[in-house]
Amino acid sequence: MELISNLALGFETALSPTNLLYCFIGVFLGTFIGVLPGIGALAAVSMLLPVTFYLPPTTALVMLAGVYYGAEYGGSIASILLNLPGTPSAAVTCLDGHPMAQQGRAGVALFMTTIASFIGASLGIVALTAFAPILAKVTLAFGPAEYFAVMVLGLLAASAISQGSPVKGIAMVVLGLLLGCVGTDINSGEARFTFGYFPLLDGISLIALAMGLFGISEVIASINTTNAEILKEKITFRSMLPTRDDNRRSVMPILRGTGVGTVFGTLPGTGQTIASFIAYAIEKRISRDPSRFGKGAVEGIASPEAANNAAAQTAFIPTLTMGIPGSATMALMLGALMIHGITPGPAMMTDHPEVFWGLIASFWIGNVLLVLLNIPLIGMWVRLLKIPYHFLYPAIVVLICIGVYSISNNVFDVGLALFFGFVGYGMRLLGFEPAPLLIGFVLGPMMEENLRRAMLLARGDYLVLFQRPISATLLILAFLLLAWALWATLRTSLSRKAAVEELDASG
Amino acid sequence: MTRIDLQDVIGGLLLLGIGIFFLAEALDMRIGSARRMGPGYYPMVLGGFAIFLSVLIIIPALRRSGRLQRIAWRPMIAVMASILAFALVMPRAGLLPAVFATVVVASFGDVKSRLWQTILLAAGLAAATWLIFIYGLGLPLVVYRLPFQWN
Repeated sequence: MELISNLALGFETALSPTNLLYCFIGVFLGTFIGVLPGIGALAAVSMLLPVTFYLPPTTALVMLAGVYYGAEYGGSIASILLNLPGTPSAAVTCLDGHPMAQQGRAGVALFMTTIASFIGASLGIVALTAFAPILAKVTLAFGPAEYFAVMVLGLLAASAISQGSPVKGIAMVVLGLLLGCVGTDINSGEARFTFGYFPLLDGISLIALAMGLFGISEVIASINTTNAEILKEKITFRSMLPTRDDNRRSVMPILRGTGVGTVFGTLPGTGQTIASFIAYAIEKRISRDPSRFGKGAVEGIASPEAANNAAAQTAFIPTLTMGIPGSATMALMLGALMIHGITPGPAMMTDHPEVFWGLIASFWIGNVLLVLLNIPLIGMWVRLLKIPYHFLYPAIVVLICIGVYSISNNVFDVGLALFFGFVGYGMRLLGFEPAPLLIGFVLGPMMEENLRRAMLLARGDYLVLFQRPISATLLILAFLLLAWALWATLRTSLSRKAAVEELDASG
Repeated sequence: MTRIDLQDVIGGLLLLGIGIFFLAEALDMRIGSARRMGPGYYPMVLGGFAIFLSVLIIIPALRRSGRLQRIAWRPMIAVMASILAFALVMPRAGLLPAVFATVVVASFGDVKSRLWQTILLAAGLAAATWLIFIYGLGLPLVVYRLPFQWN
């Protein structure tokens, strides 16, 4: 059995004392940062990415993956207790999690989140183990035209389904692709858009960009608005135990949520946010009493949390096998892999089996650690939430500065982060989503390379993209999505006029 | 409340400017053909897309009312200035003074900050970063530099 020997190799790698230690550190720091209001998984991963430069590649990725789901979990603690979602997918947890906390059932909500996350993630990892090798085999048949087509589809899916206006989402992808052009052109060696700045020849630093857009702008927006209501409640172990009724209500939603998450995580460009929203919508629709939702229904946190974490794991399928990230966080993980000299793609499984399988095994170990860490430590995380924000945010700013500076011991990157922090805050004020921009930025250079290669092979004939069956199907899907996005924009811009007027009339 | 949706009009105009800028820069480079694309080909197409999308954002926004979000001037200036302080102090004086300066400047962003608390926090964080990054992780950063090199 190839699979078993692969998994054995994986667990052997992941269970080495060094990797286990860094997995623990990653999960711990991830949860720590995730709990802080206004800071999501993306900011957590970008903050700690420079720290991992000094580690061997497998250890670095094991730690970053730990940071990633630790932060996801920490985000749901802040959502439930303070109604402050750090990530869009955690916003779903707020809907029923915060009402549960108000009813004095915060402990149960936190416990259910932990369990649902664990089950969702574990089954997601099983799906990842089963499907990643198959998809990698399919991907081996991909030529540059197919790669280009799958990236177009992924980018459109990521932007068109984001919150707010699809056209603005697509505009952010294009902006990301343009920023990805900055640096040395790979084919001709000419400098593009560097304005004479020598450090820009290597392109814009991914970490400086991500920290600016997500970290700095989030901090600015949270100051003076985050007034953490004083938490009076003490979360004891006893208060965390769910009643028999809670258990009965949660089993099926967790499994359904896992199914939804597994499917949506695998699709390029969709990912966790969509998965948790859809899981919530399904539970509400099939419930015998939909009016309970939004008032503290335990199903309303169990299913989206399972979906969120299953999707978080299966999102690694396209990232690792095709090198195409489904979400901004995955884009960052992809960037981390490339910084460590590993190119994700179908060859990764054969060239670096210890990294690939070690990573998968560490996902599961990380999730076990998350459960072991969070049930006893929940009191500590809750206490962290009581620290006033004006003591926390200067520390976050310091972490961002040191993180960016230590990439290359260069002030230029700090300046770049400052610039993108300003841009990111402006985008926030103007209602532009930063996530599609980051995905576009990471995929941009790969997309250009594949397009140029495909066109060279086809002697400049664009029709070839539609003559190969796989790329034709993917591009047609992309065009349908684009048409839908344009139509939806037109429709909302017509109906929003009425909606805004109504809102003004009412108050 | 604004008569036109100023939020999208401003956003669209900024995008239009960025698109025109990239397009103009790309046209200065070698474009090549679809078969042999030069360095300017791909950014040229993308610049065109950006312009097209900005028009799609601006036109409907002119025909509806909207509202603008308030700018948080104080937090924005304080955080920006604190990062600038880090960038200025770090290469000249080293990590500990840089962290201290960053925390003090950043704290001006919140109305609830008190000076003596801020100074304690800054000192504590400077010590903590030394412990974590220099002692713990072994990052090759200059801890402090005496006398400061100011040019």
